[in-house]
Amino acid sequence: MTVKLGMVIDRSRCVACGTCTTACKVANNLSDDVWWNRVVNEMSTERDAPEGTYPNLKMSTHTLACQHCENPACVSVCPVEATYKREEDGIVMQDGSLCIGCKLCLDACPYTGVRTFVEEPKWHIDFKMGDENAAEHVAGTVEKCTFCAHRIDSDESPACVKYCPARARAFGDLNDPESDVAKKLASASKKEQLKVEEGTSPSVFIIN
Amino acid sequence: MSNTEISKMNVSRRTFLKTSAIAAGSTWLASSLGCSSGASSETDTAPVSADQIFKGVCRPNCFAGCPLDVTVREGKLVKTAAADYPDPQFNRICLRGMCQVDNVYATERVLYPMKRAGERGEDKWEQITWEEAISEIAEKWQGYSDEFGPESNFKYTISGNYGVINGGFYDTLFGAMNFSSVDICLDMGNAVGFNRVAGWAGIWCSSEAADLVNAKNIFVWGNNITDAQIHEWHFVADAKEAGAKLIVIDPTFTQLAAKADMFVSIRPASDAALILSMMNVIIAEDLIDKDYMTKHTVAPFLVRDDTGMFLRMSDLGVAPTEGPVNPATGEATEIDPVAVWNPSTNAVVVQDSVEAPALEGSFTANGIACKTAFTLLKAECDKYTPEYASTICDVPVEIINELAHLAVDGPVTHRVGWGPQAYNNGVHPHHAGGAMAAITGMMGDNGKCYGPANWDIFSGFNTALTAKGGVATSPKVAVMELPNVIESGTFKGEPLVPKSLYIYMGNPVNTASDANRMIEKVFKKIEFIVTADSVMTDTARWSDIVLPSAQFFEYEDVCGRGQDNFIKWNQKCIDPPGEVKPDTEIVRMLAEALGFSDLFPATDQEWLAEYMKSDACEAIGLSYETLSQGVPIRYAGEVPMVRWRDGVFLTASGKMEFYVEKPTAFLDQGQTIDIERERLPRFFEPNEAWPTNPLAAQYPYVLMSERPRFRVHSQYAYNKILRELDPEPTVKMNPADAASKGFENGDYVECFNDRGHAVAKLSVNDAIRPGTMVYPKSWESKQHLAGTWSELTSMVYDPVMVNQNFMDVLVDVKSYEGGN
Repeated sequence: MTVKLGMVIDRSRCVACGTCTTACKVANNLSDDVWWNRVVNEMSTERDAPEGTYPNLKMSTHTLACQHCENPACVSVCPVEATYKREEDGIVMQDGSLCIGCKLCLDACPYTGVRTFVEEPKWHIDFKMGDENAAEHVAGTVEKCTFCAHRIDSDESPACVKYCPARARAFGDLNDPESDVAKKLASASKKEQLKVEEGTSPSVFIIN
Repeated sequence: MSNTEISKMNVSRRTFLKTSAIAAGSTWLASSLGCSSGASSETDTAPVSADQIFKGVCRPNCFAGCPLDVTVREGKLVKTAAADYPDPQFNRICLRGMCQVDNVYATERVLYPMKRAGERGEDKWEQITWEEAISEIAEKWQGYSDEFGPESNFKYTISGNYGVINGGFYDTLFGAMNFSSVDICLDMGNAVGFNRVAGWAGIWCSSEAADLVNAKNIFVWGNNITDAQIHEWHFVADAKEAGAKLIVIDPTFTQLAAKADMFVSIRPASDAALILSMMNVIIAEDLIDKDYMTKHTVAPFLVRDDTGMFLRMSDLGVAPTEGPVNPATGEATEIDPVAVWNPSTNAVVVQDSVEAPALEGSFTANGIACKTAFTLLKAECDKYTPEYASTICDVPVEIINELAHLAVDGPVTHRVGWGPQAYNNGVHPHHAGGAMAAITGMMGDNGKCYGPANWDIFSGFNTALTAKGGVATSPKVAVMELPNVIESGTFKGEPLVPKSLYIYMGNPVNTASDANRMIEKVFKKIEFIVTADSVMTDTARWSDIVLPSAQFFEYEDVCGRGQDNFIKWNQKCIDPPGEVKPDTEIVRMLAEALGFSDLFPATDQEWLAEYMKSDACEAIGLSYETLSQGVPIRYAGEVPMVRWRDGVFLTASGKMEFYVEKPTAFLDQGQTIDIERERLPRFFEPNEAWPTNPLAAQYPYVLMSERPRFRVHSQYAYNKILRELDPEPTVKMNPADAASKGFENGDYVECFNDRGHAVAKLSVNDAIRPGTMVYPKSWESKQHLAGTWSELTSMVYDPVMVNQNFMDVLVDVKSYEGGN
């Protein structure tokens, strides 16, 4: 069976700490003000704000980045094949060397905010930080989460998974029932894919 | 080289062979140049990485001290990430540990010694040489010491670096010079309140968080674990998955509260009353653990009505016997056991001599009227019926009853934070909590504990090394007393003239209480102020000389404190920038100028090796050689470390002393204390933050601080990555309160009281208890539009706790109209 890489985010463990988003930013050497992964408060646009009236409150969070969809809306609209699905594992990639910055993918993607058009990447530190083999950032292109393709290719987990202090994330081959991600999915009390109505069939699952 | 100039990396499948700086030669000087090493193995398909991985430790005082893998590329620090523990359940990092690179290359770093060029606090500077700086400091210190005595020189250090050598070197120098010290008086409510019951096993001690999984019910009292101690949250999550019930008692609905089975909103500063009421129910329903109370607490001890002291056998005419020699004093100790009542013979007997002494009752022995310690505790608890306590705590009666039942359904762990003790009555919630653990027997076994986050220091280092030049005998002045000492020129009735202040690992202008008083009465008054820091802090700006000290990764150190019970090694990973020097070098230069060179070895490595030479170090296999293999070394035995498992406490009686025979103040400042009040857990109103305080009419909001995930105290202030997530000071308020003021979310508002003000962006947030406001603490003053948070807090302190009460604060708030 083909490899289908996917991720699980356990809502019962995610506490919105932002370690995964920062790990992503650092590992991928994202330029200033660019974040590929971010914390979503499911109850409010305000940070750490619950729903309800004090003290009868509830709050839950997950994080949002590229969903690496089975049927990605971004791929078919790309006029230059800069956005493509990796055959070997299903990761949705964005090739900065081909991207012409037309932003059609940005408009087509139903997951608001997971990709950023970077006009001219700038860093507040004048040397390359993060993973040595992190991909280059190219001016005038659209960027997004690659499931840390450079790390996967070095047999490492995506930074957001590896460094989550809550142990809220799992990653691996959804088609392999013995993988961490498949096991976690199988044991979840409930599981959800974001915006299933769009027909994109994300490879990221929010559980519990 | 800019990022865009770096050649595009090949991201095809390949294995990077990273050079381990340890394997490359095991010397701390391995290479700060970080060039690829010819020593590495190489295959024909895999290019050798230019990266070197060093061992580091994240060392600000969030309590964690997490080991890091520090990546150096071409002499630059490029990444910090979690390093593995030998036991993977401890593996962790947080967002702050991930972006330490920004702290190293922060724009506010001090790069060379500086001398004040304008008025103090005006922030005008001239660059001076190290020689000029050291010679001026040495000359001033020597002059003050000669004219006003060595005690006229003060040191002030807080936290911010979990290493042993920089503090160790300073201790040696300042011990030899007999400096006075400023006592920081931080978070002492937990320490005084709980340790008076259980004994002083450490300033903040409990079973380690890995034991939470053994608890059935976990109470979290005022502890924002999911922000302030992110690294321990997974232990709570594991416990929940194992079936534990999580009960969060807090005025604020935190992320942790959102994960709880039960969130109990409580009025700030009222936790002691709630616990007394829970005990009221537990006692009334006879849910106490009599066996535990009899064996491991002072419950049966007879207390004299006349003196409040335990009835001792000598009171009954039995002469004390001679005990073992106290190694500290060299004198023989005296054994004078306490008397208990034997109900089967209706007579007093010596403690622990009968199986079932009376736990309750009033008795007369040898004409002396007594009651048992438990009877006295019960009488105090009797006052706090759930109905009455409910009016104090604002917790419903039925919830108090439910909490009482959960607290006896063990194993129960009570994990307490630093919220309940941040008020002037802050000793007593923890005295009460210790008492509740004692009468319910929820101590000393798997899943049974009362205590704060366990924060420990490995006590087995060769600490005699730091005392090589003598131990300082000059006064210890509480930071809240410092203005009075400076004004009066006396301390405890004796002359004391503070002339100089040397601050290292601290930013008191930013973090200590009542910043305006601190500036007016201390920083504008002391003749000579020097700050050593890696960053230009609020405090550095109020100094005469600023010395640029190295950041964690720029020198070698060893870290033996935190919450993980491991000792870790921090290699020197990179050279310091500019003219920056490690604190150890600064001390060496000062020592040379002052004639103390012989106290310090030529290299830091020699000192570290010597510091890890002791029987205790040997017992855990700790030495420079073993630690520099790069794997953290555990010092607390098997996991989970459970406190008090042997049932022997470090009190005078060896038992849990919920009745305190001889209460003492945390720090003697010449104050008097109310002995009777301190003998039992009590509820009394805090100094300021209470609704019946007349000041509440003028300043209606209790202002609480939180320790947010985006900084640690004032550290990370200029960390660009964290500032992208959290760009400016904010303050949170309940929507109903905001509406009553006509505020909108995102408005700039000004919190104010008689002491000062602070401006921040308003977050209208239902997590906030009406009548309170909550601010993430410790923005530098220049990051506020006006004022700072510490202007609003007070230096008033409880004579027993001697603590800075950061939340015992009332304010009002208005729209910010501009200005300073």
